[in-house]
Amino acid sequence: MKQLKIKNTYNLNLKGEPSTIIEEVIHSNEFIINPVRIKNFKSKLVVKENQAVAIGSLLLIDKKQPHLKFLSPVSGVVKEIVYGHRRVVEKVVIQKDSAEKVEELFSPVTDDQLTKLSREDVVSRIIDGGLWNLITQYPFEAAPKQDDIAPSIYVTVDYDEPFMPESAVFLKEYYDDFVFGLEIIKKLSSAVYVGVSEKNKFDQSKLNLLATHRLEGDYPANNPGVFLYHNKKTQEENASWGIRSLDIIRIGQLFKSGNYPIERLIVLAGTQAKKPRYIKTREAISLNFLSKEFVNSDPVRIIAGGVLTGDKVSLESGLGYNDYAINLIREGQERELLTFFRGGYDKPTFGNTYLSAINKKQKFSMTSSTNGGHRACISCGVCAKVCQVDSAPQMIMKSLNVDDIETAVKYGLLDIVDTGLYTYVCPSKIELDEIFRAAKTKLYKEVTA
Amino acid sequence: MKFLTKFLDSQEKLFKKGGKLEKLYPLFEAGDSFLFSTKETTKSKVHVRDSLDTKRYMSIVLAALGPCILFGIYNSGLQTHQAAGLSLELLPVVMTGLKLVLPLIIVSYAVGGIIELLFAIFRGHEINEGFLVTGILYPLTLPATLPLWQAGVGIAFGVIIGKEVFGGSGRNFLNPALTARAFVFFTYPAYISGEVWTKVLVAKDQIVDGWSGATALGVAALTPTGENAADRLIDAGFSLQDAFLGFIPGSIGETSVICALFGAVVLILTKVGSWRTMLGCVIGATSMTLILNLVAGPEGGAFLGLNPLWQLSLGSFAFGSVFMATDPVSSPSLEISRFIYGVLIGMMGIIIRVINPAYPEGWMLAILLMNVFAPLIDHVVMEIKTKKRIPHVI
Repeated sequence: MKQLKIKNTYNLNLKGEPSTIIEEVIHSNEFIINPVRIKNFKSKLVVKENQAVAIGSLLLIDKKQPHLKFLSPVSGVVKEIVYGHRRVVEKVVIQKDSAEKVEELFSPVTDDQLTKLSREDVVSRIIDGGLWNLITQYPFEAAPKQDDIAPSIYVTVDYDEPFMPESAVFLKEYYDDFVFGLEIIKKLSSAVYVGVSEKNKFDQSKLNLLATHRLEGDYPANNPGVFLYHNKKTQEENASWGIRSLDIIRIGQLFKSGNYPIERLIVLAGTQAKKPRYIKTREAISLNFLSKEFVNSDPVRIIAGGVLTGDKVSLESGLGYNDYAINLIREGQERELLTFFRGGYDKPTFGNTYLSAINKKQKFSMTSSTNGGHRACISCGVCAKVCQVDSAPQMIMKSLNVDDIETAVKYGLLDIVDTGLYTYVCPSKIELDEIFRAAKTKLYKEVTA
Repeated sequence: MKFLTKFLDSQEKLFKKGGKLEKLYPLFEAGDSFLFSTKETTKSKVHVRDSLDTKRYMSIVLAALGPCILFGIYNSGLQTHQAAGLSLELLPVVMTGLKLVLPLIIVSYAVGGIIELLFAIFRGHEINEGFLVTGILYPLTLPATLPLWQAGVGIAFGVIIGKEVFGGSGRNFLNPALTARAFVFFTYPAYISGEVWTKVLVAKDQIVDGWSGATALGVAALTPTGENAADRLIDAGFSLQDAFLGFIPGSIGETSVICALFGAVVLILTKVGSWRTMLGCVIGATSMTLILNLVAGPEGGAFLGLNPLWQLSLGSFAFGSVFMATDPVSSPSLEISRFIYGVLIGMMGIIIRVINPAYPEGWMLAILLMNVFAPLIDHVVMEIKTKKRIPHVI
């Protein structure tokens, strides 16, 4: 097994860590799907209001890429469809029935059958199962085309962003699904690399059978994009695919049962959560139940996903297609007098400008405050210290400011992985990750058009 | 405190778009954000942010400058009292120093601040806290004798041409404080070079015998060939120890190496200043001095032969490399280029100081010159770094 040491990583050390207790399903009869939150997905509705759907029925497809499908995670009746600006489908509400009808997508695949399946068979099953969108193709971090062949696939087992499910917890539940899912992924490419974190707490003897690389470092060392950058040797590999363990588990479950997998193990964490813990629930469940989980009456920001890359959601939305975590942090902060003259022993910081730097191990409680006003870039170079791909984010940003995309690409724009750390550390509060994401999306549209 | 935040919140609508005092919003924002932490919340996918902001960043620089400011006030008073043969006790010396230095600082902040505010109002952006640093760095580079109106004209030039015409803090390519000083230097040369560093409070005939008013660099530069510059300096009453501690005539904040070293430690520990730039300056200046020493040969060699220890203790080498060269905006962006930039400043500074007879000191010009080259250094370094990347072809 190879060791990969990833430099320039960072651990946020946040308070509100989840305990490893898993609590069972939270019942609700209302299921909400928010297609706008699925990345690069331009939805086209297949169902109408008041139409009955079963688990696995086709709900939406992508307008331009019909191989991206979205299946119903629940059996019931479509109660409401909400359109937003320019008639984009914002929300589909499904009222669950007690029948739990299931539409079989294909006959279950056993271990033996899998070995006989061809690459095309596997691809078409993932597509029919509505899980193709879980696979990311680099450098644009979008779902690959149906007949693209991956030069290599990068799999990471662990999640290191605060707070995402810990592999030791979910692998205990779904280890077999993961192993099976990995076999399926191996059908898609001749080179599949599996990275496991140094800090992984799961049974190492079991993992050693699967892993090809040990990834050393804090967040985001276990991001498939970062893993790809540090392992690639040729130019062709730039177009590699990436996928993470929880997504592989879903693919494994799909093949095993032939039905759309609806169960979801998520983390509920953050300083505003009454009892930070794991929850076993279902995809698209209404997030209304969270109102009972707040620790006090302070305003709360509900984040679907980690605190650095997640989406801001409300109680009126559902657990999304890609969500494995809900983080609750305080919205805004009490205004503090003369902040920048204080010692700041309790202020989290990447550098050494506050006294908190003395004790790097303490845990911090953070709010959604920007902690400062927006200014022009002062070239302090802090963003380069959290760049895992040996680039200079500040110079790329300046090139993009003047629309010089060639220089930006030359300096490594397409190697940069969407981690949120650049924006996090910037003292001028520049939305660096947003700028890079926008530039990549623009380029992606030009390339695919 | 609740009362004050409520009051500010209630006043805010006056300054917001459509309010009566809409134009003065930058002023309100500056006061509001100076007093209290921001109430703005994150909008993008990055929901939490680091506690460091530019205000904190700049206040660290101000803290690092503290000893230089205090010592500068004391030393200005001390030099004046020594020349006039007045009491050398602490209190009267400090009072004289305050009388000399405070007006310069006030003029610098007032003139520069008003210009900054006007630009903020017309451009509709926030007041940048970078000015807090520029406004104090500039008077520290001036002789205490400079007429206040000249100081005012200088900072006006520095803020407008050195910064605002390019779009304000972060978009300038020259160090604004040094641009201001360069303007004064070239416009009123009689007031900022030669022998006018010490304020003479008494009539000419009452000056202490043997007091010349020349700076150490002035003395060293005039060493005749064949003689040893260090001996000349000691004869003129400058000891290496005094030069290191700062008890010599010179610009207000530049004389003390030890105070600049304190600043360097603060800036490096907090990672606000680049240690690479500072190290580069030391390496550049030392190596250039050694080269000049070689050229001078073993006997005498006048100013060329002055050893590195003297060269680094005299003039504004320490102050310039700790506070001026490390200004992040006008230095290169990349860590490696910052080191190269430092080395070049060090070499260039010594060359101008020792070889060019027109200018007694080289750091201001060396740093401004390298400011101009900073983007080029970045470009070259980045081109070399890009060669190692596996390129993306799209």
